[in-house]
Formats: sequence, structure tokens, C-alpha cells
Amino acid sequence: MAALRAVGAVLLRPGRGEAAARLGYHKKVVDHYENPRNVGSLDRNAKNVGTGLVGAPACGDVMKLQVEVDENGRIIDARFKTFGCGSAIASSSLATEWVKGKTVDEALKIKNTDIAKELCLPPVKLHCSMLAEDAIKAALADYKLKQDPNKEESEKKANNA
Amino acid sequence: MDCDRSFRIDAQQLQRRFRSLQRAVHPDRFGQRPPKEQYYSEQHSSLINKAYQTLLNPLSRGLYLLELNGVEPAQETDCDADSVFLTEIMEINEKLAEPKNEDILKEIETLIKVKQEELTKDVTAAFERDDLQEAKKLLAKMKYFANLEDKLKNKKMPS
Repeated sequence: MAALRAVGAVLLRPGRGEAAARLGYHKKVVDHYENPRNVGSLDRNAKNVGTGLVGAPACGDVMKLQVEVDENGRIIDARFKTFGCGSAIASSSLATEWVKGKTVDEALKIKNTDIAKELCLPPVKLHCSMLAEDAIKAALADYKLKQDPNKEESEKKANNA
Repeated sequence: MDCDRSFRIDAQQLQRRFRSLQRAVHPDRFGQRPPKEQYYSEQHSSLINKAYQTLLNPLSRGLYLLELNGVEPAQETDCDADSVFLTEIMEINEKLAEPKNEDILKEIETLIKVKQEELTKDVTAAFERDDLQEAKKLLAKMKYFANLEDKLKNKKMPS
């Protein structure tokens, strides 16, 4: 486990794929780990950018996922930054690929089980895909809040009541 | 290990106890003994090492204490929505991922140390007033900093 964490500790370190494969990662995970898609940041203050920041308290991983939405409610760009194991990096990398081009409502339908299936994650790594789903949801919630803060507030109140 | 069931420990006393136990069971003393005794010696010696490390490190000590009290540790899926805290962790991670810079590494090292000391103090207080849920939350934060500490150590190693 310590070795696994050490491999995942540094994002974007080239030439570590062989080590990752030896540790039993599926080749799709290794691919995303070696060539992560959409790494980086969007302007978190922009009104049409939603930012989701989530963490896994048991393993201390953090994941940031951002979406940029156009005026038609379609996600035109997505970025992520993840500090965690290879599966967490791969899950968030795949998540950014999948949300791009979708509408906000379509993106909300992405399930962690779909991510886990695509990456062939073993049961002990399922939580990495859950983290990615949570990050998508958090980013979209942040975007929605920015569009109409009042509506969201009243919805929250309605839910709590 | 002859300790009270408390988060507060006397590290020196723990070390003395650890050494005297190891003196009694260490495999080096059993080299000429029958295989069965050698086996017990190895088993006990390894168990004592594990117990000592568990109790010495505040994070593992706290998690063990939670377990003894029947509290489940934070789950991978519990999402604490403390975004200020997560932002802080994210920023330290980002700084650590940048090209090596001794001054910045020193700065981060100090920051992590201060944070861990603060958290240890808070966890001590939480356990002392029997607020196990608060202790659990604080220990989860400690875990993030423990990860950062590992990454810092790796970074400091000459590659």
C-alpha cells in the first residue's frame, strides 16, 4: 500500500508506467495515469465555471474538478487536478473526458459504477470512482449556484423543510 | 505496553517499556534455543514493534483508540464538505508538485509540523472530553497532513 501511494503521489511523472503496471493497475488506468487528459485549472472566479473540490478522509486524497459551461448549458471544457493514487487520477481524468460535450443535466447522470467499469477498477479502488462522481456533482452544484444563487437557496430550504 | 487507555502518552516511558520488552524477547537471544522458542520470540518481537509504532505515532494512536472505543474510522466515501480545509491541502499539494526549491520545501515542512502539532493538541483535548466524533474528524485531517509529510520526504530525497 505504501508503494502504491508513492507511485500515485506525484502527478505527471513520466516513465513510471511500468512500475504502475507491475503493481497490478489495469492498462486503462496506467494510460490515464501516464497521459492524463485535461490536467490543469480554469478560472474559478468565472461565472460560467463550476469548481468541485472533494477529499477522501480515509486515504487523504484530494481531487479538484472544474467545468466550463456555455450559454446553452453545455460543458465545453473540463479540467482536473488530483493528488492521490493512480486510480483516483485515472477516475478524474476519465471524468473530465466524459463530461465534455454533455449538458449539465446529462453530466449529472454519470455514475461512479460507469467510471469503475470503464477503468476495470478492483473493489478496493471503487471509492476512487466515487470520489470522481462526487467531484463532478460538486462542480455542477457550484456552477448552478453561480447561475442563480437565490433559486438554489430556496431549493435548499425547501429540501430541509 | 503498560499504557493507560488515553491519547496522552509519555513517549519516554513508552520507549523504556518498548526496550525492556524487546530485551526480553528479541530473536538474537534465542539463536541457540529450540525452533519453537525461536518462533515465539520472532512473533512477539514483531508484535512489540508494531505496538510501539502504533502508540508512538499520534495518527495511528488516535485511530487505534477510536477502534477500541468502537468508533469506525472515517470512510473513504465520507465527504467532509470542509472546502476551506481541502483548498489548503490542495494548495500545499500544488506547491509540492512544483520543481524542487529548498526554501519552499522548508516552508512547507514547517507549516506541516505546526499543523500536526496543532491537530495533535486538538485531538488530545477531544479525547479528554470524550468527544469521539470530533476526534475522528481531526484524525481525518491529520491523515491529509501525514500524506503531505510522506510526499515531502520523497521530494527531499535526492533523485
